[in-house]
Amino acid sequence: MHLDFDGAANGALTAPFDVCLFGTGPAGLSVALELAKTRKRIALVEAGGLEYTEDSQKLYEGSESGLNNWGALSNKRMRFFGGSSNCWSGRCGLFDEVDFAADTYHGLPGWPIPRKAVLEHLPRAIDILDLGAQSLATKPFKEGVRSSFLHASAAFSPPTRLGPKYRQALVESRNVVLATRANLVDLRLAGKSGGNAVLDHAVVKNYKGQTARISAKRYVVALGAVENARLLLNCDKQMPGGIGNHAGYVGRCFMEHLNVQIGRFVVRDQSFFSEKQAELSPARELLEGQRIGNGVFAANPDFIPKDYGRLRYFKQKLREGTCQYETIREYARKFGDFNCQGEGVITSLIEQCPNPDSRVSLTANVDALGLRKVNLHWAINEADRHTIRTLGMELAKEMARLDAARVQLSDFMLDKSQDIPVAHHAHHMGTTRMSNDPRHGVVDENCRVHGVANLYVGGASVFPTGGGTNPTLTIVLLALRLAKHLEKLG
Amino acid sequence: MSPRKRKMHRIRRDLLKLFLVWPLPLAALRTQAAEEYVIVDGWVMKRTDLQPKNAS
Repeated sequence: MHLDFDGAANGALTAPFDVCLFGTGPAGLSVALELAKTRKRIALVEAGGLEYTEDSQKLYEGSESGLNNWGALSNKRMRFFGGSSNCWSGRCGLFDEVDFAADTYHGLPGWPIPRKAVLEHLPRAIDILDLGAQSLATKPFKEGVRSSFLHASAAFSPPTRLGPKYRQALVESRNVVLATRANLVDLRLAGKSGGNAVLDHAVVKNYKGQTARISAKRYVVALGAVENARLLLNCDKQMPGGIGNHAGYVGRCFMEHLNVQIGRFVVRDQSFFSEKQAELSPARELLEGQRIGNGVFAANPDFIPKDYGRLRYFKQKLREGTCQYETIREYARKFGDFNCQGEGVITSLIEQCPNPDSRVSLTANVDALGLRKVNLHWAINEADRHTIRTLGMELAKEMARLDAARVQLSDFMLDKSQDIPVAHHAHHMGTTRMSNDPRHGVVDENCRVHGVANLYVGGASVFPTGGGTNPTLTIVLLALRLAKHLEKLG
Repeated sequence: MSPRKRKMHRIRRDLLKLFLVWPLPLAALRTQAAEEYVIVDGWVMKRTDLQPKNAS
């Protein structure tokens, strides 16, 4: 059943539900799809409509400081049915064993659950994201050659837009009520159970300013890493500082994946680059030996550089001529970047360590719904700079040792006095981090908010560390684990 | 064995050990030097890259 909450037909939301899910991105929809198979009554609540609308997207707006995130708040996520699966690229990777290590290089506790706890849901996650029979295992850089870098775990979704794909199944499901254009604005607590507060009802508001209550046995908030933190911080009428913010971690440890162009390379042995994509990740021994974060490096050589446009013939001749002479080539690169045959740039996706100073916080400005807007302060620290420089240098050495290629590192990789130009990957993580110790986290290993008996958080905001690959597959795996947990609770 | 003889025996044994193992740290240093990388204009290269290719 589908209900457009703007139509004020809110009668369907008054019935008590077993589980109320807020957010229809990869996390919220994965939980909904699993619970739809059970006999539980589910309310699936989306703040936007079934399609993109300007008035909904505008509610993401806030301010940014720190590193330039190029409009992370309003441009990098979608506020309608399907969430950010409406704009993702489709690259999926499995977190390595080392990503789940409890012992970390940055001082804060790591994951409280082992990798195998999420891997048991892999077949279903592959099905949801349409990954088919693609292998997610890491492979040697070159068969039969021992190396400290491996071909990274990677599979590609078409990319699946989860909203259009699962909309009909959810609307036709007998035990699911899908409410769209219903913005979650408050979570109200009442009473205690076993020393924990109990969430009594949630308050939703439509775009005409009308409100309604939704009551359920359990609630899951899966609005994205920025909005999860924003909502919990805004709910501070009954819990000073916000729900789950007993240790001050709500909104803190905002993590991105660091996008750094570490340098340029020239192929020496083409047999190392016969794979479609040379995406390399460091071996566990290297990471543990150096005490650094994980990452993936894309080194795809340009074997047939192409030129485009009406002047392509002349451009091609100019390139060929320039590439023949090293002095001219290096001089020409001062005016514009280009590849000669067998060359390429090395780009990266590098883990950012959890840093309490990198955070989402509330400002005094309020949006049209009356919720305080956020300021996103994205910051990296010395441990991140060390990770970037060490991984880059080790990759360059390994390429030289194997005679696969020679790498020219960018100046900032060698000169520590220079700033590292870091871009983002639009992966928002860590603002409601998972830890079994309430002093170091917001949610426990089952994604339940510490101190609240029936409130759960879904999505990458619960990641205590961001790992060295794209997060969507892990988001879905964790959501499936959460669905199984909620199913067991009866 | 008298204490003096025992002492002499120990000194001879230690000298012999020293004589046998002294090349090892040097060899280790040499190996490290051979595997060292050099950085020229940002290019991370093996030290052997810098040797003339046609040197006899």
